[in-house]
Amino acid sequence: MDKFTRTFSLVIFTVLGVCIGISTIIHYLAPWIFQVPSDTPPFLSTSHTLELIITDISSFIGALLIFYHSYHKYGLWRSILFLTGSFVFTGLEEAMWILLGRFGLTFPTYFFSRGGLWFFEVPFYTCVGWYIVAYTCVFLAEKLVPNPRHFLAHAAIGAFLAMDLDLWTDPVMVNLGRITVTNDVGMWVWNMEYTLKFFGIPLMNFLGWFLVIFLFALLWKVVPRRLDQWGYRKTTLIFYGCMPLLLGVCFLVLSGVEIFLIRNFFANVSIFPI
Amino acid sequence: MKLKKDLLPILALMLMILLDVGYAFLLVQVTGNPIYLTLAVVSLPLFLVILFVVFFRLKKEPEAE
Repeated sequence: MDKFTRTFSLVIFTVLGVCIGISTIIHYLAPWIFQVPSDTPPFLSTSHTLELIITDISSFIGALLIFYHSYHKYGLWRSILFLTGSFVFTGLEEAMWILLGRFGLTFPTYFFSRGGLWFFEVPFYTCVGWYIVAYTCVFLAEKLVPNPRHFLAHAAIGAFLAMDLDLWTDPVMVNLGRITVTNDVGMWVWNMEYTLKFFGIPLMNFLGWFLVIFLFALLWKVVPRRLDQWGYRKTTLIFYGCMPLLLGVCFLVLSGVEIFLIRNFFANVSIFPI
Repeated sequence: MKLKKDLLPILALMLMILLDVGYAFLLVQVTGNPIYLTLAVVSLPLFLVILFVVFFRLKKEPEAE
């Protein structure tokens, strides 16, 4: 491991650890800061310790296996970029929508009903899940289109596969509480009204899945190509520096589609309601 | 060995899909609404075909990269 990668991994994992630690403390001990919705009804599991053990640790083990593969295929630096980049990018994207909706800065969106560790208002296992899905789908896309020059196709196919997976897992997870005796809410709760729904889930969710993975995969494919020209330090800084820009693109596209297209023409339309 | 390593992401994805199918099956049993599995039936074949294509491509690839 070269000196830069060692320092970079130390810094990025420390920053992530601190963010997760502070977010988790705020979520449980100072919930008024993020206006955490009350979780008084019994959910699938009322024990945060159980959540921590079952979902967080199992997703962490899954991520380790994926990272092992990534490390052997792309090397340590690019693997850390994918792991931390997808975690941060998707986590911030979800947190942006959750908090903007919660504080009334945009239309009401959704919230997660359970979790162990938190990254802002997004459960740790969700961010790790994004990493696993994004990596595996981009990997499949690379195998389907083996030419490395077709990075746009890799990003688009990977994003489409991830969206296709979510098309049926989202309705299942949102309604998962129905398997309990008390008929609880699912793993996350949608608060969006006056919108176009697909299987009971706002269409914006599926557009978001495509856009987030497409943009991230593109970023991860394009920026490291300039490594020889820019060097490790500059390339890494540009990689993370592009994230706020891409988050802005996500916000503008998704809110634009929702406000100007869906709410004007397809409000309250429900295709295959559940 | 390379094939075994490359199977890791596929296995991880299959595991996630299996878990979700299990949940969907439970939901159908409890609610009596088949829509949860209908969605899986629509979406899964595409995934399975892709997984098989990738699996056979991996098998054909030379051992050393």
